[in-house]
Amino acid sequence: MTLRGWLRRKRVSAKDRIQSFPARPLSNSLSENIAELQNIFTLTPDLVIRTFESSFVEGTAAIVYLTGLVDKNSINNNILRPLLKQQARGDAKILDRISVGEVTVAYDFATVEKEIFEGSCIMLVEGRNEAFVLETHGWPQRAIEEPQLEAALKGAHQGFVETAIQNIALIRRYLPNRELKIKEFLVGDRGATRVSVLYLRDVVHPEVLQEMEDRIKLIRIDTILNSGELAELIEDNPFSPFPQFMVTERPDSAASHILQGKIVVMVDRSPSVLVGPATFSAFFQSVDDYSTRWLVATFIRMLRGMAFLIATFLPAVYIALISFNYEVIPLDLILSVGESRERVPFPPLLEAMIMELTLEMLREAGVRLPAPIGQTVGIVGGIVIGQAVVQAGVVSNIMVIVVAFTAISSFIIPNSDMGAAVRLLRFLMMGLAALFGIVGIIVGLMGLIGHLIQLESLGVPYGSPLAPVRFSDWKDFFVRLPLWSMKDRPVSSRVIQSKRQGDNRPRGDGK
Amino acid sequence: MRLYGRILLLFCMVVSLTGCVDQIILEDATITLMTGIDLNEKNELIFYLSSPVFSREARLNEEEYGVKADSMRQARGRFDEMATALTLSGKIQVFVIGKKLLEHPHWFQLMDVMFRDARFSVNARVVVFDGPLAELFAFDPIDKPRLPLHLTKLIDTANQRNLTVKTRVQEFHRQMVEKGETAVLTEIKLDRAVKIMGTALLRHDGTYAGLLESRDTMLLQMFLHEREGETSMTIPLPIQDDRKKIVKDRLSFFLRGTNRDVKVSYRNNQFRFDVKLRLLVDIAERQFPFDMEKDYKKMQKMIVEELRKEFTRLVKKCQENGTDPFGFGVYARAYEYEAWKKVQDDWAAAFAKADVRFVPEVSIKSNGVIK
Repeated sequence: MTLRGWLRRKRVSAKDRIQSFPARPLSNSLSENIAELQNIFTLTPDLVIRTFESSFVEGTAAIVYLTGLVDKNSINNNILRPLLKQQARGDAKILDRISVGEVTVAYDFATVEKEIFEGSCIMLVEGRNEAFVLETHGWPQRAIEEPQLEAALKGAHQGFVETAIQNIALIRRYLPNRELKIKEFLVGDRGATRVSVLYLRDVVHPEVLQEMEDRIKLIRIDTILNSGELAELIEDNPFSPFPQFMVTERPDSAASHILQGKIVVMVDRSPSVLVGPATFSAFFQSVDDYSTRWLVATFIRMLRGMAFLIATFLPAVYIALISFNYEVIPLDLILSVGESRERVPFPPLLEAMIMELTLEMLREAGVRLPAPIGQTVGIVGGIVIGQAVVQAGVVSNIMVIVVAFTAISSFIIPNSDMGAAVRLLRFLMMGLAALFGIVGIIVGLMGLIGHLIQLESLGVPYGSPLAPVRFSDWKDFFVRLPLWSMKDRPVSSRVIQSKRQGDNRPRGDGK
Repeated sequence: MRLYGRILLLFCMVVSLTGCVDQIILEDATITLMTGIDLNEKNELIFYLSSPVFSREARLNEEEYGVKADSMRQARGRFDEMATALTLSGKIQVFVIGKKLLEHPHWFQLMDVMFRDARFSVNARVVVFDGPLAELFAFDPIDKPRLPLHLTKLIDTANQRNLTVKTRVQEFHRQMVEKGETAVLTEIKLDRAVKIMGTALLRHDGTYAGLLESRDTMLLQMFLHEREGETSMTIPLPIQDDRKKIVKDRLSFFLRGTNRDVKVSYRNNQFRFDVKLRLLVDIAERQFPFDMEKDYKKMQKMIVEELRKEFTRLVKKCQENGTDPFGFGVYARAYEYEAWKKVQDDWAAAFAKADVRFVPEVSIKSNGVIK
């Protein structure tokens, strides 16, 4: 926890830079209030202040909003129209006329300012030292689409969008349960970001939840733009190559994790949510595993495990075998390796580095390009890697195979963060292999295992269920046993209520 | 800070590892695939080496050298003076010994480095070559792959059919050191092609004692390894003794299963071994008419008799040679230790006097797919 102490110190000093406004109360005078607001919102051309007279109020009233953030239809039809056109009868209150769902009252400028920034419409009335906050959110939004990074074959084809309210709704569709609790925090001093923590109250361990809340509360920062930024501020070990929170864009995946007793953290304005505590094994699972037959899913799980090993170690093994431990290569292979290595002018490490870096460049180039150009990059890269490089004698055939294998393997890992971590580790392993051969790889492997064992996510062991061993969780680990056999929630996420289903084993016609 | 401490610790640990010094990149290595020792006319030791060459510019894909030296390690230095790159011993497939060298006892000491140096391959097949080794290493037929590969495959597949033994260096070491057993090696000869001659019998001091042809090798393997690989024997059966026939009376059978049982006793200064061999056989070929349904017992009896004769002849041959490739000494040590202790340093002599009786039991399990 020394690390967190260190972070805490830094955050306090960060706070000093940001001007904080004292909570000034509203005054009785409308003009004074408007003047104050104009004072706060200088150089804000999108601020709209409309004063009007209505029979519902004595004197003038005003509505204030930021024009892009509100739903104009709502303001025109539900606020202005009734107030301007209708005549007050009896002592009808102003609020009775406004047909907006959520209305709160604010008494100070800080709240007013915050609400305006969040897309609410503020109504100020002459002679009242209070402001009505009318919910009229209507900022630009994207339609719900299937997430590109986590496409599923059989799962739902909905992904999160940039609005937390909608995202919460997407999760609620899966979990219409009163125990699904949502705690909201405002993080960031300049752009207060609404951070929502979703969990099942009767399942999540209170200590884990408390830990998550504490960490979020400690953040002092300008603003959080993305859930990835939040993850970096609240993770356990900032120097680890491994992601310590699952990041997902899939509501069904998030709901499934909530049901497993995990906590979902949603950052407003970010289409991906954080899931914690995460375990290493969770990064190798996908929602599709549970909708395919269990034998198939088990096979795919093992494939991913193998892919992890290949992606991390294959180039390193190649280097080690070529430069130290040639005895291990079978006779026929050593001859063909020798023949294809003969023309290569570089030592094995350099050869491997060249190819792996080329591959990474191709990948990175393809990621941000529009699809048609991306394809071109793929083809050019494919020809360069596949043929020309070998023909020119820059790298060997075997190296091309190794690179192709590692590339495919690293993309098999369903979580892109984990895939990236693996791609990074590969270079470390290659270095070790070039220095010490197989011994180096073993040292790297031991280091990796040691690191995985000591790593924690929200204070819960990252290596679970392998280290510490949790046999009951192994039903959903290397293998995915049939759903009906997983009667309990995973122990790894430290749940307080473990039962999740009864005896559902299908028995066919008999009983 | 703790993290930096850990990184420092890890770094120190990694740095203190041995490495780098023994780095040899594949193309800087002359991977020895075949090596050999022989004597020339003046009884000088000559060491041979054959290694693949990976170069498009070289016209031949193999290089061979023969050097005069007093030991294998010394020979390595000589090889390095000539070979393209550093000679490595970790991938040796075939280790050839000239038959001439086998005339001299205690030549086995030459192989010391192969066991002492951990980087030496102990998986090489040990082979006796009948003729001067120079001929073998110069042999470069156009219809065969590189000679070491060709030899490796030849020995391995011949061994699968039990035409010869496959003795690797490690196993050879055991056989030489074991007091109750003598070594057996593959023997090859160069005709127009390399030909497997059978199994060379070595005495305890390493000298050449004789050759077992493929048929005897099968019997030996049957005894040593029960059922391993494929054993197919053809035996003459004396149904009618008509020598003028072109199609001779022959019966071939496959071995489906074997089980051996050795009983040891010691009486009157003589070891006696009763070997019970239970064989399950499939008839593969029968070149004479025979009513199997009625007389299969008779057939079994004939096979038993033939096998017994063969085994007895084989054992007698070994006894006369002063060898014990069967490892009867191991049985003697296990069951008659007191008696063994007295003769352990000259087991071959004791074995020559021993009484070995084979009692095969044959059971025909299949008659093929026709009647």
